[in-house]
Amino acid sequence: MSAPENQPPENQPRDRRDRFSCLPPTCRAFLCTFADNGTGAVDGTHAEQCAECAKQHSFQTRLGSLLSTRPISPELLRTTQFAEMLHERIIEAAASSSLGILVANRDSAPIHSSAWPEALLESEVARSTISATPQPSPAMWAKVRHSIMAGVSERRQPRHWRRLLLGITTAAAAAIVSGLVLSNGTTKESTIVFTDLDTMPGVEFAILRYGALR
Amino acid sequence: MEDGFERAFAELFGRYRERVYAIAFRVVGNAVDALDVVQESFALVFRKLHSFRGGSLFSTWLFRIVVNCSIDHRRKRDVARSPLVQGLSAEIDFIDDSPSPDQRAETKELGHQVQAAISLLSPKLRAILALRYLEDMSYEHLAATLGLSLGTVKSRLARAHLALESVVRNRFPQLDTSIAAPDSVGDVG
Repeated sequence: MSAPENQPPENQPRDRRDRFSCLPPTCRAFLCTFADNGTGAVDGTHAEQCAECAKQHSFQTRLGSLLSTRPISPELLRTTQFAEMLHERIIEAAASSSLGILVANRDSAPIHSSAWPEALLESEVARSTISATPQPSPAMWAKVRHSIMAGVSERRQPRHWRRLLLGITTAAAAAIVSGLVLSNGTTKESTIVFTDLDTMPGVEFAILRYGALR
Repeated sequence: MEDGFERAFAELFGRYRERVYAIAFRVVGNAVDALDVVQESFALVFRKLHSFRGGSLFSTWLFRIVVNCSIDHRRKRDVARSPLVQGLSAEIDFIDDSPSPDQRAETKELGHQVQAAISLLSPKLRAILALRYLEDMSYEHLAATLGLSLGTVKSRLARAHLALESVVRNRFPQLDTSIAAPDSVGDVG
């Protein structure tokens, strides 16, 4: 090939370079073209100018017949035993697949389409197996019920405390009111004092003749 | 439905098992692992059959699965093999129509050396060589099978050729000599 193999292009990191990357574009184009025998687009001119590419082409042409020689398969591959073993493997794989498990469990619990892997929903078998009327499972319903009851219980607790607080407040208010009422009910006994009107008495007085207090 | 499955299984397995085995063998490098790959590939094909849309050839879809299974197989090689395959000899042979026993023996020997050389390449390079030569695939068919762009197929195949040439020249000089023949530049094109 035209370019020295030990001098890779500078713009490529060293660890990514291989023999092909080190070649000039004309050699790369030539080597990319002639391997496809059907195209007939080989640039013979380049091979005349580049001895290494010509050598490479010659090597591949001769090696091609050996590469095309198919290895003889072992007798085991053609035996019934091998085919049966493969058959069993396929059946087992199908039984342990998600589809197989779903089909196996179909009798014990109805299957809802949301439980199916999306890829399987396209098959006829899957469509015919999906339950038309899905039923909630008992375990799921128990969980839902428990959750509802927990919610109810949480709401019930504050209501209880509110009632207790209200009762205490009411009792306290009643006590205060009754206390006030009772305290207002205690009056001092009035004393009647007779005095001369020329001087003002030192207490509140009333002149009965004239009416109201002064 | 079971009867239909049986017939489909027999038809597909009978038609493609040899070709699937050959590709798997090229990638994994020995008969025992190749048989494992055959099983894995067909099991996967039947499991995923509903996802085959018919937008491409069945063989294109199948060989893509085989290549992926072959490459994956190396990662889980430690997994115990099935008892049926365990006792199998890793000895291999190559199909050859040569008339004389000497020529057949020579082809077999060269076949072993080529396989040994290919085994030193990366799995991706082995896979593209296997499809290109065993299945005689064009660039377009390779691109569809491997899910690559046309440009990537061309460069990867060229890389595979260069890498194989290097391996043969450095590690298998006897093979290089065996296939070497006076060749002129004028043959190109």
